[in-house]
Amino acid sequence: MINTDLLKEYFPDVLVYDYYIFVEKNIVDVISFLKTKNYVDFDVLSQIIAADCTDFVQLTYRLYSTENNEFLNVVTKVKDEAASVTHLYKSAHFDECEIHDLFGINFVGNEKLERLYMPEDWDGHPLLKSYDQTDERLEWNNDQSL
Amino acid sequence: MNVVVSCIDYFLNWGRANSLWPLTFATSCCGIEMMQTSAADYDIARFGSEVFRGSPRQADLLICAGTITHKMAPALLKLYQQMPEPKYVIAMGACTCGGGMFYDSYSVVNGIDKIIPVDIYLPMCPPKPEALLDAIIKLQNKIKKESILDRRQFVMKHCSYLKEENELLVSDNGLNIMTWGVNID
Amino acid sequence: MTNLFKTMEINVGPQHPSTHGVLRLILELDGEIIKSCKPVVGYLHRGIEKMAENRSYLQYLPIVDRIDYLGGFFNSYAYCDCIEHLAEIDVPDKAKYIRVLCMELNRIASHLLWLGTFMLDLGASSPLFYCFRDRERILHIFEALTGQRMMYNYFTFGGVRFDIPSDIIDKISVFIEDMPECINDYENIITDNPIFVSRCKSKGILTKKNALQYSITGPNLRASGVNLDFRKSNPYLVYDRLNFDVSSDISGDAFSRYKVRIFELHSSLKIVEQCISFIKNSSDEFLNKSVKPVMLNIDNAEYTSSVESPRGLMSCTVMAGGKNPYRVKWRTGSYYAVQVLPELLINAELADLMAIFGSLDVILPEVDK
Repeated sequence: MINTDLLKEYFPDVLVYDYYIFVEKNIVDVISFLKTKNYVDFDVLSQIIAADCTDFVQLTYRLYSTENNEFLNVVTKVKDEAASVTHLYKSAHFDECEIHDLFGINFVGNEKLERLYMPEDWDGHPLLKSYDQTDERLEWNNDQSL
Repeated sequence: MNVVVSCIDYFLNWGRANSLWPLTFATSCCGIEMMQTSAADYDIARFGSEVFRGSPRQADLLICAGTITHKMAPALLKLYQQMPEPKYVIAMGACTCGGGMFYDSYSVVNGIDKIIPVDIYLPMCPPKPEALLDAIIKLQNKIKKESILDRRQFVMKHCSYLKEENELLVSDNGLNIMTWGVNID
Repeated sequence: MTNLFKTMEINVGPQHPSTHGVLRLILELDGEIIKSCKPVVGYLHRGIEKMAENRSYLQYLPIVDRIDYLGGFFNSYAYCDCIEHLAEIDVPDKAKYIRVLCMELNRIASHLLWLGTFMLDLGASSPLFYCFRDRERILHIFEALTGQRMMYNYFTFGGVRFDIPSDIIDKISVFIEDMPECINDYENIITDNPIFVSRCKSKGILTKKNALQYSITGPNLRASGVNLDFRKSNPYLVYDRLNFDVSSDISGDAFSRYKVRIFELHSSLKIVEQCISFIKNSSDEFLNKSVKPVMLNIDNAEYTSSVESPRGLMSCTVMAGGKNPYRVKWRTGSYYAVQVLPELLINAELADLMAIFGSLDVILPEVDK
């Protein structure tokens, strides 16, 4: 388990429900605290989950502690821009590129940010709920009668 | 004249049909079944197709094993163009035949026949090795009925849109295709 | 590039016989030495996560098998576990044992394919035929059980689709009797082979710190000295009732990754044996018949399952939103193994590229999803 009192002392406005921490701002500071200053170190960033909630994108950082074998979810809301955690966990790079690609979130601080899956010149961000399949490539030679 | 052509056809087709050299072009699940076909138990060598080539310039059969996405499609076209004539294509798996279970996905090409001409369609997800062998036998039968006069017509008819692309082979502008989709610093 | 005349840039893939799919690597070479490497993925991005949003829970079930085609059972289980947790469905004990049995056999099949293709990449073609011969026996068992060779769609919400007939149990018992001898055969051919050893020993060393930084899991992590196996540490299904060992190694090179996987073949066989003895004597149901999968309606909730797949931690996150999933997110082991590749390849020779890459056991559809 996490040290809730210590966490509250540093960051008074976070909400903690057993394995979920809800953070409004300073997500990087909270994760950095959990990685080093908490008495159980969350040394692995298992994954970053993004979900489009129409007016904002919810990011869930899923941390794992190899000492204690437990997961912890740090949840935050972002709009267009978020802070990068690649300096804390190198594994975040692909995750951030993927979210940038599929949700259009810009991660400030990740210098190598680029599209991961879709071609560089693809229109739109497919996993957004509002995505409309309009890219011209979807019509591969459809005008040709084969 | 016809006698001469049919004699040449007979010998050429006999040679072509019994030594189809496939290109190792495996993108996903069907690729594993293709490997299984070439390994123990099924042994594709019985049909003269065991020589899997890494380079398209040495191959004359493209077994398109697996889903083709929009990012991969230019690479597939490029590979097809690099293969020397006569060349044959087996669309292996439901995805390559018409999208399969990914028919409504935003990134999957619904059928490779939108990009390159296909000789044999082999649906199933993924096809069993026996099915792939069956497809190869069917292709051999098809080749045996071919004439050297038809082949050119087949290519022209089925890839009318490729006419301009064929010119790329000469000028080698095709290199641009490979960098498509990624930024190279 | 900074030094245009000294270094050379070459492109490996996306169509390359040894990349096991459609990985593309952009390498910068100084002579034979790799100076930088940039993996480009996405050539097999099929939009599996988006497809969930247009389908009901049951309609999505067949698609998840395609994420990691060598371990279809693991995907199915990760997804079923989520739905069972969200909809509060109980799974009978026998179904749990059948699931473990299938998953462990699948792990053996997956590792055998890895072993065959890894050796093929290193230039040894005969292990491929041995491995595929034995893998084929597992596929025959699966085909008899589920009706498909690779995409099983056998697990369903609340259990498995069909009961396991007694003749298949006999087949499996014969298989696990023969298998240890076959594994010994592989080891006799491969482990002490001087060419293999010199190509793998101290090549592609993945340090413990790097492995954790890059979120590597599974056999790759265990070869780097962290004894983390989700079957032991966070037991799911009936793994806490089974007796098996987990192997780890400290050197973190390609050879120790090979050794860890060979050990896993043995421990999986051991698990299969225990499952069979339970299933034989069990008169339990194989499926919770009270579940109506077509009518499934789950209120807004979220759950993440964690499964130890052959390539590391596989987890599925389902955010339910009524009749169909609002969002499904997959976390797979290979995704992170590709990311660590530049770290391992720097200052390695080009000839070692395939030895290092092959030893990580990367499956591309799992990366691209």
